[in-house]
Amino acid sequence: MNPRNDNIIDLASAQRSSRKRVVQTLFERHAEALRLFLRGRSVAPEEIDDLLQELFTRLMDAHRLEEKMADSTGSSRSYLLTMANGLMVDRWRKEQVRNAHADAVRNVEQGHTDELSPERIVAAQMELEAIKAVILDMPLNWRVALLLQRMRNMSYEDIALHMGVQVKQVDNYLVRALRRLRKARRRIEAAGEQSC
Amino acid sequence: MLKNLREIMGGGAEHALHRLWSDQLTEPEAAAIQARAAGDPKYRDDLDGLLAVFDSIKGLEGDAGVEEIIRDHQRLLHKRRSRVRVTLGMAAGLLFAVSATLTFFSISRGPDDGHLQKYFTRIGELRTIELDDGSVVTLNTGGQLVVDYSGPMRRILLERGEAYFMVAEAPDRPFAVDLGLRSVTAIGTEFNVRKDPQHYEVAVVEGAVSIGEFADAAAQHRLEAGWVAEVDVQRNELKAFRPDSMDRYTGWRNGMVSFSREPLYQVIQELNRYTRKKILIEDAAVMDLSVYIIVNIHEIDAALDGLEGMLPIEITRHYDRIVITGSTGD
Repeated sequence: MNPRNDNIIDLASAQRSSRKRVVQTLFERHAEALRLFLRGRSVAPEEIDDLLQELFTRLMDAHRLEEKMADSTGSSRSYLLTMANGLMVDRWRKEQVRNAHADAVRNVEQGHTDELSPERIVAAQMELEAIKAVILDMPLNWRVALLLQRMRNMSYEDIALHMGVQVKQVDNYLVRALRRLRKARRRIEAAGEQSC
Repeated sequence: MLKNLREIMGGGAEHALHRLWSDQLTEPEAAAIQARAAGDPKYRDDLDGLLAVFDSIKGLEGDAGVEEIIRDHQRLLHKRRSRVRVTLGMAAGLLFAVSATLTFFSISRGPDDGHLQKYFTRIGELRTIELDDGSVVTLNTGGQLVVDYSGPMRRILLERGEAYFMVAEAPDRPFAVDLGLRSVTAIGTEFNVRKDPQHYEVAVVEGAVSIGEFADAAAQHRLEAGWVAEVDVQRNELKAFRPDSMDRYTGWRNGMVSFSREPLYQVIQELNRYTRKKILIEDAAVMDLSVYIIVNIHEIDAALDGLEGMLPIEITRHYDRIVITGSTGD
């Protein structure tokens, strides 16, 4: 075998094993937080192991994970919870689609709706635009707090530090921003569905 | 906290989502979210839907408009800070150099704040931090500090809480702790600093420190080992005294807090710093009972049992708080 190829393989597996250590550390460090979070997300005890396994796989494949962990502005805890949430949201969406199209897809091959069809991509794009519009329409402090949490994975304490306000104030901004999103949700979903 | 539980049980799904990402999420809160979602399909749908929207926001990463909001905010923040600086400077009627120190940390915070290291402790947590120069800081419960070693001075901003400093000697690089309105500069030493909203406290264990006033750069107070200085923030008054023992200022590092003949309400106030489940005295008659006790801060429950044994009080533990009342007689 070509020795150069061997090197490449070694490097890849070395990266893989170092990534595994990062993910394991992440799991260990935030085991308690993750457990509480899943509880609050109403995950049934028998599903937890399954879900954690999937989360592990996702993190092993996550783009620029080490870079994100090394970034001192973000909290690894917040990142982990966001990944766990993403997983559950995916499951929930599939279920929604399955329920909504239960009749329509009766004749269609099972699993069809899980695929990323061009229509689904456009729908997601429209939805994202609608979300953006809602965020841009929020008072400055609300949207800054929300975006720092989402885009920078910052903890509430860090957002407070960053914005120069009390943590209580950050709680206040976030709850208001989220309430606005909750109320706009039907509109956001409609934007996605329209394009289907 | 009771307020959070109430909001989860009675408020919109946004409260639950907000708590889910909080570092302070508690077991009862998680259980309450789960219970409400299980019993209320509309709420469950609301929460799932909101979490999905919340997740989708991630998709805006790299979006020029969104990145601009974050950047713009940074600029705005800087403008607001400089305005605050001017007002403060005028209020003090003095020196802009003075207020420049005040905003020193906040202004340099931003995307380029890589040289600042931030440290936190949670309620009940102690943390020992070894700094690059060999100095060692121990941060007490619920504390927050920022370290800036990038300049000619070694600077620490104690944002809140209590910290014990063992300063490594470096004569040409002063070691200063900023408290907001005062700063403490070490002169090769060990000292404890506590910052409460209305009250600063500096206790010198070894060597000496100099306490500077931001409103008056010339006013420097030298404090020697064995002395404690207290600053009343509102009145901007400093008084110094020599306590019988320094245990009170150093003991916490080993997890011990001692009280000698102090009123119960003060003891409880102190214990409340170390526990998330708050202790309340609901009986004025027992507030001033004199207490002599040494408490292990990791075992507040045991300390309460001890208090109950030696004082005419009764302790009732609720799921979210602990209440002290006068004993009804055995």
